Amino acid sequence: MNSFGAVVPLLVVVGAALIVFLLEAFLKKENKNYLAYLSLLALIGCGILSANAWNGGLTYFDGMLRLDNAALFLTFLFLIAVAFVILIGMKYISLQDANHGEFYGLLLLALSGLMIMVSSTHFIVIFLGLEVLSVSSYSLAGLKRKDDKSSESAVKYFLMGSFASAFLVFGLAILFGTAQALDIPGLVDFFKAGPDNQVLGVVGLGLVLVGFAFKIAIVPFHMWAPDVYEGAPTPVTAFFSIGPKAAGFAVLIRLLAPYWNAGFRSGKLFGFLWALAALTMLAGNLIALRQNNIKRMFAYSSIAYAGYMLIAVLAGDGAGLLFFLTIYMFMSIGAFGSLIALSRKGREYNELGDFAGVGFKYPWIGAIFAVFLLSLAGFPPTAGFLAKFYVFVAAVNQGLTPLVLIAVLASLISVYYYLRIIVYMYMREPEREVSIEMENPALYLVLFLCLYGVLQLGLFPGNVLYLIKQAVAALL
Amino acid sequence: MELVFVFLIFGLLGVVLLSMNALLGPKKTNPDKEKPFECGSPYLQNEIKPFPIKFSLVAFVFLLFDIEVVFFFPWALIFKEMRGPALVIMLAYGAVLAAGFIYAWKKGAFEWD
Amino acid sequence: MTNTGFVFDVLIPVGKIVAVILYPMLMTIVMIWLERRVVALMQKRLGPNRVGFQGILQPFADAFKLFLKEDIMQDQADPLLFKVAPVLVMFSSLLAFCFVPLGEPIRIGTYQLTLWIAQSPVGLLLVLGLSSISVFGVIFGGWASNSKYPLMGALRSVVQILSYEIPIGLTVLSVVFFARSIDLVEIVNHQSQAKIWFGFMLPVSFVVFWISAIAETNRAPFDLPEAESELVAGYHTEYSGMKFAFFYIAEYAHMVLVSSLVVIMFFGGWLAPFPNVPAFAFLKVIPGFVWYLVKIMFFLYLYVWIRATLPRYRFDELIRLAWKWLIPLALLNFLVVALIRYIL
Repeated sequence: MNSFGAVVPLLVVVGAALIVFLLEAFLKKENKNYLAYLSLLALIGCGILSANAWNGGLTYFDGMLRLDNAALFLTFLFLIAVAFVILIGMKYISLQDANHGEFYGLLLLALSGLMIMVSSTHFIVIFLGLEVLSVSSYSLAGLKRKDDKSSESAVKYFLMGSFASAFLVFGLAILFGTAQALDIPGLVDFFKAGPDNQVLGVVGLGLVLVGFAFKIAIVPFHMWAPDVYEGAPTPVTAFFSIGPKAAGFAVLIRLLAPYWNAGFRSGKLFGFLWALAALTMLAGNLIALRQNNIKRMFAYSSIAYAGYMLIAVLAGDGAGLLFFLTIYMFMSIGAFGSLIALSRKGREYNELGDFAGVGFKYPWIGAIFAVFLLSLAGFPPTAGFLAKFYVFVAAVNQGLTPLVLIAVLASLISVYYYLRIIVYMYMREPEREVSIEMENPALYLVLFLCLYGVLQLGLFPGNVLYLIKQAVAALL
Repeated sequence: MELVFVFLIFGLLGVVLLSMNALLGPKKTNPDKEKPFECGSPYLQNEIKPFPIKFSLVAFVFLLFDIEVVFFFPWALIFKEMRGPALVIMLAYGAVLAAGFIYAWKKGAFEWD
Repeated sequence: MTNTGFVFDVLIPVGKIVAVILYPMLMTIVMIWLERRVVALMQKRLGPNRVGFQGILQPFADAFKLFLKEDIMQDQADPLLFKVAPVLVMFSSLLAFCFVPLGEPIRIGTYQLTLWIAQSPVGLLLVLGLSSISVFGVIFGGWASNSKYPLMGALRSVVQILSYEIPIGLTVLSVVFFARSIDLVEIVNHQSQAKIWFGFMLPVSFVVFWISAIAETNRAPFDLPEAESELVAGYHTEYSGMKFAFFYIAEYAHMVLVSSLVVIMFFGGWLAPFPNVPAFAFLKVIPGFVWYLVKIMFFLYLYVWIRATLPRYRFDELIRLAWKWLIPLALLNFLVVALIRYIL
């Protein structure tokens, strides 16, 4: 149904972003929190509008923008993620010398980019969304302007990201030249039609995939991730670990699942991605073993997670992917939130050594962090187990047993480094003084909500799975 | 067609005039003449040292503005034909432009440093 | 209505090309003389008055002298860019004249002699674009000289030209609103039909455009890039001989170009004045080309007049004028014009 209503949620977010930017220029330094409240209000408004559009199938701009249920589900996911990031960031940016109101505005703009990306099946629009997302992300990474590592991460992200965008655009140009279409149904029809011109088409598709592989940090296109994750302000890192990844995978599964179904499950592209998935999981987890900086470790862990998600894409399992992303959002934001909890003014505790004895000194934070780590490692009854379980089962059903074996092996490796933090927290004598800022209610709210999410989804995922079923009907 | 000739002739003109000058002019050089200009005194520094470029932000703001102004042109051409939505859409567009402008202004992009 | 033959195929095009090269050069020479004489008279000096009648041959003598001067390139300069820069500046300035209509088509029998080389449907944008290519020449020249004064002059010039390009774009838009074309010939034709010149309809646009145009051409009071008391001669400090002359000619050609644009967009191009007063209908006897020249000379004189009258701006004042006054004013003007056009 063609309706202006399809654009309104997006307009709310973009409008709020503009207002935040303008207010930022006029507000006094100590009143910056109002911007956070305003942003949260906009997120709620956008959420209500999106909820109204559920099952509506609204489209606009001649179908360039289509709010199908998959798009709406992911929009909800992003709204929650950005709300969490804003909440955990409010105190953080004032403590860590990054008190710029642009944080909220850029997050909202990045959110609008994510929303554009997931609510279109046309590659030009997807690319537009990707660029809106990327440009905001580059600036977000450099939010701590006086910090060398933050600047480094911004520049690295910018260079690598523009490089990836160039690949993407080049691939799109080739695809458009051969298939005369850039919308996903048109592309799938082209590939279904037969083997003529397909060499060039596959080259184009490959380049597009390389572009996306950069964005979602798949080995061997992951080099930027550790530095960016380490340097960027921690709330922003939390956003990076879920936002761009989820949107990228949503686009990939929209594109590739019909492609596999068109009989390309034995094609070269499939084998290529198969190898990448295996490589990503192994490399991500193996390199993470050697990291002593927790943020870096999480960066490699998120690379490894990209590998698991790639299995879902290879299995064409939309429901599994959405479920996985939902759970990963709670785990990842929870884990980064716990890292933020362990900080005080001008100082963050990110080294492994800092964690020695933390479990006894700050029992609540330690315990919550431990739950997120266990979930990331995939222990039942946390959601992390269920997420992997669903994806692996779907993959086995599709005959990807060797890949699943590799995945299980990789996630066994990962147990070591996740548990290592827990070991440090509970079984080591503190090496150095760790004192943290305790008063941060918004952060504790997020930690609690994430904990709830991880446990709820791990034990009783029925409601969410029901929603996902509705969403996936549109996806495939 | 004439444009191609104009291109060629202008190019040729440049080359001819410059080479004539090189042929006709004297060539009496000495090391001091080949030094960069310094008001008659010995040259004070050998290469250009880094120095602050004032208003470098202006260049970035310019990029945005110039591109947006270019979008206005086709719109202005068909403004009368598409009466209703044209004005509203462009007002929204202009509002974004104005918001960016005010932001840059407030952030001091147009100040001396 | 196709005429062929030697005259139409060869002679007229070649004649036009020669004209389009000679016209800016001649205007430059007249301008140099005019400027020196007028400024001198305004300052109670004599100015050049020896070479030829009232010193009219002085610019020719100057040009000839530059031709015979030594072509110096200092040893630290970047040779390629150093040589390319003046050609680029001059080339872009002259090339824009191909698209500037000098008068209404002259009818000779069945043949229409057009007083322009090419009529482009996007002529206005083309001319503006071509004239801003000279920024590259300026920054190449300043950079390649590898010397501090030229570099500073070039940087200033770039910031200045960038800043003032936006008000120009925004004010040109208001003309486009009414003319509904960005073809320079069409814009004049439209003023002829409307029987009113846009300059009187859109005074704010004209004023903003004219101020920005002075800044675009790096002329006083905005001649910061070549402020001789601070930067010797700005971006062409290290140039001598014909290369220097190229920069010099390009600057004046640019002034002529901008004056042409003002005349075409705001003052009816080659149209005779007072189109709606029947008593002045006899003015139409005088050919359009002459009217055009008269109007251009007026604006060129205005350039000189302003130069002799106003002191130079400081650099931060210059940028502030552009971004804090002219651009908001141009945006507001654009909005008002759009609304008026919407209602009308």
